[in-house]
Amino acid sequence: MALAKRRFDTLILGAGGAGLRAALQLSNADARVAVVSKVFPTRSHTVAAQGGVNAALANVVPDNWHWHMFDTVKGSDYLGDQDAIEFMCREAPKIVYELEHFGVPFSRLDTGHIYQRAFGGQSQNFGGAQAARTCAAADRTGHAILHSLYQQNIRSKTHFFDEFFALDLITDDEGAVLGALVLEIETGEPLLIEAKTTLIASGGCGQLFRTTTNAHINTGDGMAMVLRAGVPLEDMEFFQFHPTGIAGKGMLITEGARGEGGYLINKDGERFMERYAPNAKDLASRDVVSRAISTEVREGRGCGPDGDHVMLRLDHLGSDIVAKRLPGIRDTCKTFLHIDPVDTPIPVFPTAHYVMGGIPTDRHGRVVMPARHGPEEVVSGLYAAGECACVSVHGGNRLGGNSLLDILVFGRAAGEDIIGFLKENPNHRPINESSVDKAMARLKRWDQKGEGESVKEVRDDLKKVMENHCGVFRVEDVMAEGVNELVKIRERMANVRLSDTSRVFNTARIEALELENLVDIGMATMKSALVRQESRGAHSRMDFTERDDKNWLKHTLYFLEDDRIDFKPVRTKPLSVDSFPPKARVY
Amino acid sequence: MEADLEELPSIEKLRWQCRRGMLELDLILKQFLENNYNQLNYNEKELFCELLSQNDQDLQQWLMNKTSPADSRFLEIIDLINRH
Ligand SMILES: Cc1cc2nc3c(=O)[nH]c(=O)nc-3n(C[C@H](O)[C@H](O)[C@H](O)COP(=O)(O)OP(=O)(O)OC[C@H]3O[C@@H](n4cnc5c(N)ncnc54)[C@H](O)[C@@H]3O)c2cc1C
Repeated sequence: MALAKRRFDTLILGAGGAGLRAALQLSNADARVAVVSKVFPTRSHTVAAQGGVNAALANVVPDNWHWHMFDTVKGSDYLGDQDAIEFMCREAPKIVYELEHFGVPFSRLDTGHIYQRAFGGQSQNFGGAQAARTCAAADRTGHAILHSLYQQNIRSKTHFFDEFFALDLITDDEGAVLGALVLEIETGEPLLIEAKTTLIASGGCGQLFRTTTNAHINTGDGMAMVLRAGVPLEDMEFFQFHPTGIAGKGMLITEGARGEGGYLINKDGERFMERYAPNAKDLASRDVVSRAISTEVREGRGCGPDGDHVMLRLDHLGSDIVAKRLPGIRDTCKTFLHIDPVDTPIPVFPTAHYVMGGIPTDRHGRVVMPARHGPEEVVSGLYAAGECACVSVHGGNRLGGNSLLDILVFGRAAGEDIIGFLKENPNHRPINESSVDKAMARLKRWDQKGEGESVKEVRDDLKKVMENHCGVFRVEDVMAEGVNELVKIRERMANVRLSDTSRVFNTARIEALELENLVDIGMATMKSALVRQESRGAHSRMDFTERDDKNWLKHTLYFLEDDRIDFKPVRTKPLSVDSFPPKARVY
Repeated sequence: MEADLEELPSIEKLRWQCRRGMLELDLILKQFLENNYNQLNYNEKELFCELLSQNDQDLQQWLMNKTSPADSRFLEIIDLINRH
């Protein structure tokens, strides 16, 4: 059967906050937009964001975008690009008011203004008193944003391909992107979508790690597609871990548990945080607690039959306090562990939460890479926005509430830039058959029958390798060994077979394709972490414990070809204000 | 009965419907689908399929014991899931 084809002005891969915000901008400008999503749009991971979105509205305490900018640069451990950060913080109020206009029911103050809550890392006056910058729609901010944007897109006639899985970008010999090959999950049939511009908005890749807060859909597909198209990934060594996820499962046990007096113990019942942080103890900062837990486990003091976690005790607090102040945690424990934290300790381990790295873009959402004329040349026709992109506004570490802001600001900015591009490039470029053939071959490979390993076996091993060799505890020889392990996993991939090679709703085939993506992203992460010989933001090395601005104030770029690493400078010059020079990051 | 059963979506299709935006729901729904769905009677199966079309935020509230759905038809299937 001939390959089915469709044509659009713009193809958007992903229907989370980033993809939907971009789509809306384009549909409202009368561009023909297709949005492809592997799950129904409102089941995108953005729905899980309950905390809120940052904007310096100054509704509760004095605030302005410049203070927000300072906090973001500092939070990034000075690795964020200051032009993009200035742009994001200045756009933030507009973005929030737009959301309000789209129907997001933000919580309000008695005055009628949008309520704002205080989050860690927010300050007034460049590092002064606590600011309150996070706007929330009760505890369903992500849900409200996603549903409002979806409704707006339906009204604007955006074309949705729901439950279609994007396989590969189609490129021509000059490297311009011509669209993508996608797969209809229900029928198992491929479809070629030609587009003048393609925006990747496929979200994060937390499924790389055994313990993660991310939903199963977060397998970094768009990032891996970009790697296969010859474009590098930026700063992949920066992955934010939360110290207390439920061991082996990943869901968050919020910091509130320790804030209320909960504490961690190892298998000997020792309150080990006293050794790592004699003053702050269990309330030390996230990275300190994460590393302490990891060290206890590595040194054989972990709990459980496999010694692979520690325990969080709340049982001394009394049922009143737990029921009143920590009801969410109690629900989570009862549902997933069938225990009540009122009388039983909770098994916990650091859980992978957010990827700061991703597809390198400028502040217009255009994908950029080193080429003939410099380190940031535009890849024609290709855009990226959201968690899959690295603008970079989060640098070495993301602040709470800045991710929803990032996806909306740069989703919108990408939409705007695409409108200009479409005016200047009104025609489709001719399709490149050899690129289509290559993408088809990768899909057909999963029709191979016979004996082999299962997807699950290899995936479980990959996640374990990532957790053990490239988790919160990073050191040269352990990561070098991790690279070797990943090489072996890559080799094993050739022998993986599906027991079911049918077409219709073959979710096993989708999982195989996702695993292929994860393996490449795993290598990008491990290689980048190995090369960066310093500790900065979320990347902490036991063998290089200090930040090293002289040698490492630069972005890492990983290329799939030969697993090559390159670097590019950090953009330290903002758009209109003075640079914030690197300072020690103390809170 | 045979004819009725054919109207329900295939288990493969349901497996994909259990892919959600939140890890908590992925785990609860997938586990129930794989371990318990086949033992349900036709009405219960139908309700489960309908439940999957509800939004993630509500499902999270119902399945993690916080609130009851306004639509009381779902009470039974939610109770079944919560007991497994
Ligand atoms: C538990 C949790 C709580 C959080 N809370 C907050 C918070 O309070 N504030 C904050 O700012 N941030 C928060 N974050 C982070 C934030 O939610 C995410 O970074 C953000 O929602 C990502 O949005 P996105 O649009 O980039 O991608 P997503 O919302 O993840 O959407 C990705 C889209 O891509 C599609 N897709 C992926 N691969 C393919 C493929 N191969 N083919 C087709 N489609 C594909 C998916 O179907 C989906 O539609 C939280 C994260 C977690 C895990």
